[in-house]
This record gives sequence, C-alpha cells and structure tokens, in this order.
Amino acid sequence: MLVDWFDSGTGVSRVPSMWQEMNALLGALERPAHTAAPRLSVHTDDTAITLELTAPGVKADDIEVEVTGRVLEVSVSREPKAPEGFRTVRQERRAWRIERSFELPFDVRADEATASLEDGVFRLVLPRVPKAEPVKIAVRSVAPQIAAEEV
Amino acid sequence: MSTTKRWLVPAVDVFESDDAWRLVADVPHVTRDQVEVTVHEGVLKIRADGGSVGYERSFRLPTRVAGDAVDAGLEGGVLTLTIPKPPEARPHRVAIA
Repeated sequence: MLVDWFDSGTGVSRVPSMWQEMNALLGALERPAHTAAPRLSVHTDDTAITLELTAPGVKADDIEVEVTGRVLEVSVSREPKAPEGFRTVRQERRAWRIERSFELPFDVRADEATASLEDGVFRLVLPRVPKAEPVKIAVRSVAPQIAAEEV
Repeated sequence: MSTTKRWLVPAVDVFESDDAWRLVADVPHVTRDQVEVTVHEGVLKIRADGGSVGYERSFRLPTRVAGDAVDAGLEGGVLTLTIPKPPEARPHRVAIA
C-alpha cells in the first residue's frame, strides 16, 4: 500500500528532516492516476441519450445545458478553493472547465429532459422522439360499384 | 451487462491551520455509508467502495491523532476531513515579558 505524506509546502521548518527524505523517496515512485480530471461518458440506446460526468464539488449553478435541434451543448466548471482560515499544503484537486458540443444521432424531446446532480455525478437524460412506426391501414371491403347500380 | 470495478486514487487537497489539518478528497459516485475513514498507527486511511468505482488512499500523519477526533463529511462527491492537531503540534506562542 502506498502511503502518502503531507508535503511540506509551506511549513518546512516544522517538518523533521526524515520527512523530507521520505517525501523525496515517495516522489520518485510512480503514482497511480488521480481523479483530478473529470470523466465524461455518453450512452445512447433506443429510448434516450444519457450523458454522465463526474463532477465532485460542482454546484447546479456551475452547469449549463442547451439543446438546439440536434445539437447538445454542455458547459460545466469547478474551482476548488482553500477553506477559510487554512493555508494550502498540497493541491491536487484541479480547477477545470468543460465545454462540449455533441451532435445527437436522433431527435430528442428537450422539454422532457431530466438532469440530476448527485454524489458528485451529473447525469442528463434526453428522451428520444419515438421513431415513426409504420401504420397499418385497415382495408374495408367496399361493395363493388356494379352492385350499387343494381339497387 | 458486465461491470468491471475501477479502484482509483482520489485527488486530495491538504490544508493546515494552527489548530487542525483539513483533507479534501474527490470521491464521486459514493454515498455516505460507503466511506470508511480509519486512523491506525499514525496512518489515516480513506476507503470508499461505491460498487462500480472504489477509492483508497493513505496518509501518514505528522503526529499521533486519535481516530475519534477526526471529523468527516461528504457532500457532492467531496469528502472533507478535519483532523484537530494535538497540543504538541500547535504553534506555541512565547510571551515576551
């Protein structure tokens, strides 16, 4: 298990030298990928298009969604801040802004879209306009014209 | 549909004041009951198991801290831990006579 140390960014004088040696050692190790970058996925099926974006710390006000015809535009941003009264020792959580435009593969009902922000995940579901099904037209048997003349 | 679980190292910010350290971790997808924070032998461990995604990360604390002193909160996929400094880790102001 990889054990991190609080980096001695500002408080160098308070940190024993052994710490700094350990930091140097750990710094040389390759670290696994962090979750600093947001993950975006788009899933399409017969009924809807679903967009999911990991957005920890993002508030509803930081999200903008617009659908114009078959074009979906999404803009999401976040800017982590240091809590009041604290100084920053280590900063890995990055500020980012995503602006993406998608061409939708089918017409959607934008007025029936649902958007949610839960557990740091933004989810947008755009229902598909139902495909025009072939409509069967019942054929009634009509009495032949000749019969009408007979009446 | 097959789902493969991804274990990730959460991005963490560390802040410090005279009285406490504060750790802020990005852990999207997980709920309160899926997060576990432990302090054992000077190592603070964050573990969150959210089904399709899990997070794990450990930090060696600069001083001994009792596990029950750590305050943890989860909101909007962000885990915030506040670790009060024991008296010996706080800056000591020397009064000048």
